Amino acid sequence: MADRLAPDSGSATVELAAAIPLLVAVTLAMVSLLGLARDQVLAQGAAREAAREAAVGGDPTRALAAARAALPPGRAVRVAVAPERPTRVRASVELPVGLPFGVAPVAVKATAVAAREPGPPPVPADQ
Amino acid sequence: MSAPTVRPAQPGRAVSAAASLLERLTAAEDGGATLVALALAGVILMVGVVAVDVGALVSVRAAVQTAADMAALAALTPVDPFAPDRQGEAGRTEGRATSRAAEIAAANRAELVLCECSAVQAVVRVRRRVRLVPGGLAVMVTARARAVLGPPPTTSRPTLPPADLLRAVDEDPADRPRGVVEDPATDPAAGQTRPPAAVEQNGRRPDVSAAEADPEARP
Repeated sequence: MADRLAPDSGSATVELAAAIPLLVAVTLAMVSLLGLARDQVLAQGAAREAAREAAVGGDPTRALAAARAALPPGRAVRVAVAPERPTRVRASVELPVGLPFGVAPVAVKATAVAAREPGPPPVPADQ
Repeated sequence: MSAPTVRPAQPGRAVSAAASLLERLTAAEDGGATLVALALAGVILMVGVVAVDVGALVSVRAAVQTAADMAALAALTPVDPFAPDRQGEAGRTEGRATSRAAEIAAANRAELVLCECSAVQAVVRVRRRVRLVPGGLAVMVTARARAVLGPPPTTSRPTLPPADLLRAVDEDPADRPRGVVEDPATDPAAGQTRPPAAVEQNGRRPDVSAAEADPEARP
């Protein structure tokens, strides 16, 4: 037994040493996948807030501010608010997400469509 | 190079069958470390598939909840901006509210399955089909939302507190009193000071964007 294991013990270490970076890379990739999912949820929340604000007020700048407020501070984001029909507004959010291994950042997208509400925009709450 | 087999002597029968299969797959390999790494990679791959599915479900769930909220709000929104009075058109409201909610749900890529819509309250259930990573596997993600016509909220929050989430699961929307407009002072943000009677009767805030999370993904 010992004389059979002896010549293999070195190669086993070498193989493990080769496998470990791969495993670490796979784990990192998975963690970044979870980060993508989290950012997708963030983008969805921002799109929802923007659509809601645009539906009640109709003011794109306030919609953009609402989208930014739903995101972590300092996060780069692109928000587009467009009337889809006379009765609807669509808010689209693009959130760039950095990836490991020097992969180019991808943009996570989310949209929300809200029914435009008639009437004057509400008075901004001073909170 | 040594002999292709380095397995310890006399494993169990099933184990040896699996081992011989593994050895055939990795016929030219020397070390047990390759087998360990292979098994580890398989486990990591499986965990990765689960992680991808969970991520997809979580993000779709957020999108479907948005669709439900927007549909519930749309059901209460009058189409004509010069409509005289929202409460006065109760007769026409029901059918039009449902079609309006269905339209907004579809625009948010979800399907309306339930709309209990009156002139002052809309309870909406919405769903979307999600494909998962093992091909052919798909689940329905549903979300529920309720909008109530009433005075605007004093504060605005994007999500519900955990207490409301629990209540939303417990409660049957059909049992709820219809058309109850709550006092704006009983906002859940100040829930600690709320009178207990209001909590028992209809413990939800009057905000029309109140969303009831329904965290179930049913096949």
